Amino acid sequence: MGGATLHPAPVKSLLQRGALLLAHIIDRSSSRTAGMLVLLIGLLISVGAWQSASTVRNDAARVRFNGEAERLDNTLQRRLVGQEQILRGGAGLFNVNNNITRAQWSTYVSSLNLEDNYTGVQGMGFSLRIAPERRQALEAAIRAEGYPEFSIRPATPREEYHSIIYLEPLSGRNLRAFGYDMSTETTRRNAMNRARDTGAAALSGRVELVQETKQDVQPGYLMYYPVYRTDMPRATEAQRRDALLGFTYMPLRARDMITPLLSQYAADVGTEIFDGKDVRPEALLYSNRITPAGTRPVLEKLSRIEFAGGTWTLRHTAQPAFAAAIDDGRPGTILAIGLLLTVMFSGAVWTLAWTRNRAYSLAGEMTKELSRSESRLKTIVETAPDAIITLDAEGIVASVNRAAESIFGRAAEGMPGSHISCLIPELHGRQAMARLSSQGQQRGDARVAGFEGQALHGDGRNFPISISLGEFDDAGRRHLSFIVRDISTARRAAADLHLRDRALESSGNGVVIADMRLPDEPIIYCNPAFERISGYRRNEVLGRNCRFLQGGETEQAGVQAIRQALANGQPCNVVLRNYRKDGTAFWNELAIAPVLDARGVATHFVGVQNDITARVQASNDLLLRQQRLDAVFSLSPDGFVGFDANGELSLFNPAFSRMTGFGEADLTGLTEGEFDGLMRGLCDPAQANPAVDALPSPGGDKSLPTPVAILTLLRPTRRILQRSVRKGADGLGEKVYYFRDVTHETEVDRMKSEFLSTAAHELRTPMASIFGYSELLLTRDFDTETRHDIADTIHRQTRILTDMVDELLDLARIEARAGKDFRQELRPLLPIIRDTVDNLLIRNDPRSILVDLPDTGIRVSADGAKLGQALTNVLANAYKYSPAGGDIRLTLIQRRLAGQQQVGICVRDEGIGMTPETLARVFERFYRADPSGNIPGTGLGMSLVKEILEIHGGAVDVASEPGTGTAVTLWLPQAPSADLILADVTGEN
Amino acid sequence: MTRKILIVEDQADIRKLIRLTLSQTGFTLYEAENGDHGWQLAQELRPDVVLLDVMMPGRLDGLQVCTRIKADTSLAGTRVVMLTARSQGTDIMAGFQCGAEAYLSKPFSPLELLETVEQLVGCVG
Repeated sequence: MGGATLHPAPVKSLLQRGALLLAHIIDRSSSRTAGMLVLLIGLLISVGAWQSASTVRNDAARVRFNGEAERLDNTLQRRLVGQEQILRGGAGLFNVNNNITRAQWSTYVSSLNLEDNYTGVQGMGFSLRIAPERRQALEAAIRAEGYPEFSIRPATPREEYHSIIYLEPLSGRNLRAFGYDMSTETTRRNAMNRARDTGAAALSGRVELVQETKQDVQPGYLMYYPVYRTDMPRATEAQRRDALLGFTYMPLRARDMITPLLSQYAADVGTEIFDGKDVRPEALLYSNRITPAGTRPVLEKLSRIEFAGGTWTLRHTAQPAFAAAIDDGRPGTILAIGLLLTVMFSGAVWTLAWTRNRAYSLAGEMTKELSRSESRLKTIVETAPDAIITLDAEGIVASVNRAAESIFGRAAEGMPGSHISCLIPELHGRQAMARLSSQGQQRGDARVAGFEGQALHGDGRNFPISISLGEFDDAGRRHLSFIVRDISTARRAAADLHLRDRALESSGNGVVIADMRLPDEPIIYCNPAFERISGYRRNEVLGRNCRFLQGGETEQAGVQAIRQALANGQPCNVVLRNYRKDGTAFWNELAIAPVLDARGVATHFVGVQNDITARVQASNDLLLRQQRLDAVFSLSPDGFVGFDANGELSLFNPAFSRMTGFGEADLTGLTEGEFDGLMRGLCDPAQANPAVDALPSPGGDKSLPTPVAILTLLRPTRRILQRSVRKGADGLGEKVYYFRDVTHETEVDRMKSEFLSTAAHELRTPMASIFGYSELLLTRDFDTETRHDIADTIHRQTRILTDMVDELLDLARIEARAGKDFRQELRPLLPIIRDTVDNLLIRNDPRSILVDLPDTGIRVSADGAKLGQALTNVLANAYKYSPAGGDIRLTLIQRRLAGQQQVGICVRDEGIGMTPETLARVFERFYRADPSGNIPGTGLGMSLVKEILEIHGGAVDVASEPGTGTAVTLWLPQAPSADLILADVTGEN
Repeated sequence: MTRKILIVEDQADIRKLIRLTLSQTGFTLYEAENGDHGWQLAQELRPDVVLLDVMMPGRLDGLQVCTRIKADTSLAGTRVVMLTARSQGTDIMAGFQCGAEAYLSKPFSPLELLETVEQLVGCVG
C-alpha cells in the first residue's frame, strides 16, 4: 500500500530560489540594507507565511484524499463481502440438499432482490459438474423442462463438463449464459478450480461476460462458491475435488456494479481498478478518472483489495477539481505570491476554514453511509438462517440475531449479557481466543475459524452445531462474531447412513453399487454377501464393471433388460446366469435401481443379487415333472377332472371329453354339485350313481382315493365308467375325479359269466336226461322196448354232451390260440369239399347232397381239417333244420370284396328257415333255432364255423326265410389262379 | 278224482323222463312245450301240481308262469315245483320268491321228484 505524497519539487525550488535571492540582496546592499531588509523581511515573512499556509493546505488535501481513497476501498470490500455472503447462502442451500430444484433456486434468488440490493450483480446461478456420459441425459432433461434450445456450450468433447443449469433471473442477457461451460475459459476455470480446492469463495480475474452484447461492452468478473456432494467427504483437497457437485456463481459487470457505489463520493477523486497486483492498463476493470492516464496527478494513492483469492489494485488520483485547489508551484508565481501576500494570507485563512467545513460535512456523510450500511447488514443478520452472535473479548454475548432464538430455544432478549458458555458450554472466552489464534486463518482484516461442537438448548438438551467464528477490532477492542448452525439433522442423516452401511454389510443378499458418472460405470461398493455369492474378494471387484459376472454370456435376455433400464434410469428385476470366480454358474436374481440426483439423472445404480440356483433347479425339475405329468394327463386313456381349491372345475383331459362328449364350454368353472348333475344326466337313471359326498369318508388320510363307484352312461354312447375321487394331499380342497372306462372289461366279464352260466345250463340238460334215465333203469323194471328206448336216449344225450364238450374245447382253443395251431397252406379247394361231403354221416336220412362244383383248380390258403369241420357243421345244420325233406345243394360262387377275390361255398336247404330275430342270433353260443330239443345240437356249431372262417381271413353269410330255407355261404380269400371259370355272382348272396 | 299233474318243459327227453317217473302213480299227466302253452293249460286244467322248467323259449319263462299261478286265486290249490338247470343260490331264491313250493335242479333224481310230488299232493289232500 503506497501512502499518498505531495510532490515537493516545485515548492522546494521556490524556497531555494527565495533564499538565494535574499542572500544575494543582503550581500549586495549595505546602505540600503535596512529598507531592503524590511522589504526582505516582509518578503521573507510573506514567503514564510505563504509557505506555512501552503503546507497546511497541502496537508489537509492529502488527509482528505487519503480518507476518500480508504473509504472507497472499504466500500468496495464490503460490497464484495456482501456478494460473497449471498453466494455462500446459495451454496448453503445446496450443501444442505444437493437436490435443489430450479423452482427452489428461483425462489431463493428472487427473495434476495438482487436488482435493488446488489446493483451490477448480473444474476446468480448454479453451474453443475457433469461426467461426459451423463451429458446427453442432462441436456435432454433440461430440454424436457421447457428449454428446447438448451445445450452445453461449447460442445467440444472433454473430460469433464460444467454447465450453467440454473441462472436467475433467466431472461435477457442471462439467456446467453444458460448452458455455458465456464471451465472452458482459462480465467474462469482458474477461479473455479481455486474455489473447488479451497472450499471457499473465489473471485475470478477480469473477463468479458458472455452476457455482453455488442453494445456497452464492459469488463466483468465472476465470483464462485463451491458446492459438494453431501454424501462424500471433503476434508482434503483431493476429496474436495472428488466431491465437487458444482458452483453457485455470480457474474458481475464492473462498471454497473461500481458506478452507483462510488456515486456517493466526491467526483474529484478518480479511481481505477486493475485486476491483479499491478497497474496494468490491459487489466483495467473500472475507471472514473477524468485526467488522461499519461498525465501526472497532483495526488495519487495505490491500494490493494485482496478478496477470495483475487487481488484488485486500486489507483486513486486527484482529479482536476481537486488539483485546482493546490498551487502547482510554477516559478512565475513567486512574485505574485509576494505581492499578493495579504490576499494570500486572507485566501489561506479562507481556504483553511473551507477545508475544515468540508471535512465536517464529509464526516457527516460518512456517518450516514455507515448507518445505511449497518442497516443493510442488520437485515442480513436478522434474516440469516444461522444464529449470529457477537461477543466481547471476555466472552459476554453482545448481540444475537433472530435465528439464535429458534436454534437455542431461548428468548433473543435474554441472551445478551450472559456468557457464551451458557449457550456453548465448552466455550470460554479464552479458549475461543486460543482456538482462533491457533486455527484461524487470516481473511482480509479479520481472522476467522470454524469448528464443530455441542450447544445447550433452552430445554436442557445438547445438540450438535458447527461454528464459524471471526475476530475483529472495534475501537481497539477485540470482538468475536459467531455464526452457529444446528447440524442435528445432518448428524442424524450421517448416523442413518452409518446404520444403513451396517445393514448393507450384514445383508444376506449381495449388494453392489456402481457409479454411473465414472467411465465404464465401475463398482464402488460391494458387501460381504456379494463376496460370498460370487467368490470374488472386494478388492478384485471394486473399479470393475459388473459385466465380468456374466462370463461370455453377454447377450442373455436379462442383460438386454438391464441395459435398457440403465439407459432409461429405471429400476428392473431380472434373472441372469452368472459365473462365480471358480467358473461355476449360478442363477442370480438381480434387482437394480438407479439413484437419481435432483435433475433425475442417475448417478449410481444399486444392484441387489440373490443366488437362486437351488430354486431355479427345483423349479426346472418341477417344470419337467409337470410336463411329464401333462403328457401323461393328455395321453392317458383314463379321464381326469380337477377341481381347484375354490371347488371349481379347473381342468379335464381329452380322454374325459371322449368319454362324455363334454368340452371346455360345458365344464369349466362348474362346481362339484353341478358336475355331478351333469354326469347324472348321462347316466342310466336305473343305475345307482352315488354322489361323491355320499361315499364313506376314507378316514384319516385324505389323500387316499375314495372307494370306487361305477357309473353306467347311456349317452353319448353306452359306457361303464369306474369313478374314484382323490382329494389334494395338502387338504386345500383340491380334488381330482378319475374315470376309467371299464365298458369293455365289464362286457367281457358279463359275457364270460353269461357264457359259463349258459354252458353249465346246456351241459346240465343232457346230463339231466342221462342221470334221470339211468336212475330209472336202476330202480325200476321196464319192458324190453322201453328199456331200449331209455338206453337210446341216454346214448344220444351222451353224444350231445360229448359233442358239446368237444366243440367248447375247440372254441376255447381257437379263441385262446387265435388260429396259431391252424396248419394253413395253399391247397386246391375242391378236394376239401368232396372229402367232407363223402365223409358226412347223417343217420336216418336218405338224402344226399346235390353238389354242383365247376371243374376248377381254385386254391385257397386253408387248414383242410378245420375248413372241413366248418363245412360239416353247416351241412349237418342243413339236414337238421330241414326235417321235412327238401334238397340240400352245395355250389361255389365268387365275389370281389375290397379288391380281394373271394370264393364262396354255398349250402342251401329247403328247411324250416329262420325269422330275422333268430337269424340275428345265429352265431350266439348255445343259441339254437329249435330250442325244444327235438333237433339235437349243441348251439355251438355256427359259433365254431364263424371262428374258423374268420381265422382263414374269410366270413360267413347266412340268408334265411322262415318256411323257405336257409343259405349259408363260407367265404374264403381265393389264391390267384389262371384257369378260373366261375360265374361272377358279385353282389348276390 | 284223479290228480292232475302238468309238465311244462321244452326238452322232449326230459318230458319223457318225467312221464316215465310218474307213470305208475295214478296221476293224470299233461304236457306243455313252453311257458305260454303251460299257462294256458294251467288255467284250463287247474292241476294239483305243475312241474315248471325255468328256461324256456317263448314269451313266458317258468318263473313268470309260477308268478301268474300264484296270483290266480282259482289256482290256490295248485302246487308248483321248479325244475331247472340253474342251481345258483340266487336262482333258487328267485324260484321261492315267486311262490314255488319246491325246487329241483337238473340233473335231478327221478325218485326225489316222485317223493316231492307225493309230499305236495299229500299236503293238498
